Amino acid sequence: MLFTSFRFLVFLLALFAGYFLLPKRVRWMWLLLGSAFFYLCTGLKYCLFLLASILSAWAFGLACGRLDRRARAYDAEEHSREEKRAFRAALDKKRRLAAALVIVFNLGVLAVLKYADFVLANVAAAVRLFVPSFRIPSLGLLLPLGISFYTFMAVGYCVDVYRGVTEAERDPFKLALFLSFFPHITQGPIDRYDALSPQLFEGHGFDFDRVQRGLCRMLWGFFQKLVVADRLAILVDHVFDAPGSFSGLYLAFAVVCYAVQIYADFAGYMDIALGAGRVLGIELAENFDAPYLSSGIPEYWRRWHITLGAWFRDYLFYPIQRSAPMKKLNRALQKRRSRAFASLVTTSAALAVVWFATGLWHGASWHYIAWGVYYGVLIILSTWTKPLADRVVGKLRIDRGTSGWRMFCVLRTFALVLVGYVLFRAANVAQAAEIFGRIVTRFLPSNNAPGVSLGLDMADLKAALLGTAVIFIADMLKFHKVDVWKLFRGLPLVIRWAVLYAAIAAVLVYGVYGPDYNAASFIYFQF
Amino acid sequence: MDRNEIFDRLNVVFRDVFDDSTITVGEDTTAADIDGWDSLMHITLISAVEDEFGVSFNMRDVVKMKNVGDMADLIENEA
Repeated sequence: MLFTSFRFLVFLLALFAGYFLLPKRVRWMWLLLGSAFFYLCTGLKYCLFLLASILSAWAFGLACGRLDRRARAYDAEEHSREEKRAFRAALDKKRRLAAALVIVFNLGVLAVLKYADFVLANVAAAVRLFVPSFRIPSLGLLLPLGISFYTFMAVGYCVDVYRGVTEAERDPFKLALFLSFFPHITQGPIDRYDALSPQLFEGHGFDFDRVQRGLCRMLWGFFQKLVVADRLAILVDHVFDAPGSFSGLYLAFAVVCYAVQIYADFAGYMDIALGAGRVLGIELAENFDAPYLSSGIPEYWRRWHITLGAWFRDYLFYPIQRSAPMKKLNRALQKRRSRAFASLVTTSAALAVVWFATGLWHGASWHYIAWGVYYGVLIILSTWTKPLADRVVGKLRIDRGTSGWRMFCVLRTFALVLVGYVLFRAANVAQAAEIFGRIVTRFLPSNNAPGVSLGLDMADLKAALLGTAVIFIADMLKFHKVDVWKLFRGLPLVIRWAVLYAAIAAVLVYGVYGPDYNAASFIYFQF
Repeated sequence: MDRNEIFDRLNVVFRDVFDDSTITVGEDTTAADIDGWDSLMHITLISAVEDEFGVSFNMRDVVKMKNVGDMADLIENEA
């Protein structure tokens, strides 16, 4: 059930009505029912995988809680310090084993379903170098909707329980609601149990102002998705389907359009999801914070898909850096060189793993891996060259506080992001190389194939550009911490309603519908 | 260990890690207040603090630490 479908609006209306009519203490059960219905619409077989993930995480939580209680009970009894330490060590070993099992199980299911065919295809390609007739048939495994997201949330929950960051949830239905909550199960945000669970189970009253804010945020999401993203998708798909027909200039324009499309698509989805949550009184984690206004790549990744970056930071980057071999390497390098050098080496090693994993998480294809590695290289390079860059900027007496310098940094970052998008959007690495090649060697429009078009007429292009300008202004306000809602509420009532009607009309009139409209999937559904 | 002494020693560590002799940390100092204190430098800082005070933080402490005051609390408890 897509967020932009009529069915979803009907579902939402029924869910909201039921939520506020039912007694507070059972509202979370209503949300669970609604979320189960939402996910069941994707097919019963998908639910089995989600169920397995929920049950494994719940069982792990119970086991962990039991071990902790045993440890506390033993501590309270009369034993020597050595005995207590030995007992605690034995229990820690069991906790570690249980954590390893549940993580391997959840990530294993994800790995097999998402990457088995990719691995087999690459093995077959490698063997074909020696045996040309060698073939491995595709397994064609199904990929449950949102598996990359709910698996990460389940693993995050288990690790948090293991670390003692959150208490284990004893009620399997409550954990089921957390993992299957309909606004975040298909595309995130990748929420944390300790932050979300109190809100999920509280049972919020009807607050007119909050409901208004939630609905307005949803409207903003629909605008971004239907007016901007789906319109630009026509152009982007048209150009990327046959990049060989286009000059470098047209290809570069299509890449810029893709940057706007994917942002309007993904951030639009988030606004619908977070808006729906807000209507219910549940604040999901923010995933975007004006990313295209970042002045450097590390900052960009703190503003783009924030919850994914935070997940990789807390559950992969930090554990790698804190692992025993890394600590040993760090100490050795500190002795031989310096703390700064040791930090650079160990951070770079951890970054390499994290960015390879980030690329792989986005899809079972080499161009996604190349995209991840590209960002890894950029961030590693920026950490190594920072002292040199600081010296150069100092020598040139550039004032980093000026708006001119900031604008240069923002444009430079956006250009680097665009290069990444070629790798990300291309069908494969070869097509990405073809696009780069044409941008460099066949830039002028005279290199377009005869009769070629961008796939959008001028009116649609103007509507998309106007929508892009509105998104840009909204991001500028967000970047400068302007409270848009407060600004909106300060307007005279007539103007407020005029703005709302204009927004609804824009979505209804300029939204990309029509005979070919198939409620285009959100880009991140595929991940 | 006296809390003032903890902050004095923390100042030394912060100045060394971030290569900035003007840094002075307090209870409410957060990553947002110190140029360069991001997720990439966090573990380097944590390791330097551990070495300075002879303590060991677990992963829960590493991810839950919200400001330098939290860090000082942990040092106080561990020392």
